[in-house]
Amino acid sequence: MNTENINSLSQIDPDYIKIGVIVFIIILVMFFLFTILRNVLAYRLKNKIIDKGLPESQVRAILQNDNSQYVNIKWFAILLGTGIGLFIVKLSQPLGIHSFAIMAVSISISFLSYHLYLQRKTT
Amino acid sequence: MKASHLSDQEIQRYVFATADCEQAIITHLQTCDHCRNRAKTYELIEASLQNEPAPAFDFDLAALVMNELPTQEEKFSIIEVLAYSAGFVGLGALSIVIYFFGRDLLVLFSGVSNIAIYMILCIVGMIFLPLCWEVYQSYQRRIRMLDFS
Repeated sequence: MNTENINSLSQIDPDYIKIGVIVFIIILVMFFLFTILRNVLAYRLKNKIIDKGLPESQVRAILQNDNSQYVNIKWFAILLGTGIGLFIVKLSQPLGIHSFAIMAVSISISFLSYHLYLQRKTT
Repeated sequence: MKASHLSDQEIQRYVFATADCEQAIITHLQTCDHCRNRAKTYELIEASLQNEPAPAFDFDLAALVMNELPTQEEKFSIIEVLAYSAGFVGLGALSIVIYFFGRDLLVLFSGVSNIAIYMILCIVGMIFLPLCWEVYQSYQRRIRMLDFS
């Protein structure tokens, strides 16, 4: 059983493994930067709220995140758009400028669909 | 010299502020037993008031007030110091890894075409930059709400 698994792993193209690791590292770095930005801004905002000494009701109104319940939908839209884009890129190989265009269009459509979904939900 | 008896205000001025007292009042008091007795009564009241112990609360007022006063926060809390220390340790570890294994890490990128790497960077940028922008816009909106409140 183990021998079969090792054999199937050795059949994977090393370039695919390299690309997977590169994607993982880049996403890790970007997510790290994104989290730092979000936490720094939240820290500054909360400091300002404390300095102002606002009542609790106003603080709640300011800090409440309107779209927090739709965060899963947001990531669904983004990942679906990215996946469809990559699939089309795969079909239209070799890679070129058109690949960037395909990815830009598919990701922008995913953001647009999320925006339209939010508008529909909030109205 | 005054013919009629002195008023309470005139007697009080004689007892408590003799230097400011008019000569007519002093002369009247020297001759009038009634007014002198009233002045002596005021002097007794003043003396008894001076002998009274100073009013004091039966609890430690200073301690109560000090507890209510806002204390100045420490410039750096322990959690902040720990967080910064952890950050510096992490950066140090990362620097060591890059210094010793940097060439080995570069091998990871060899063999992969440049356009594939640019593609990955571009896709990740296209996803994360709008998310960063959204977070920043949300921050600006809340700051505006704070300024108006």
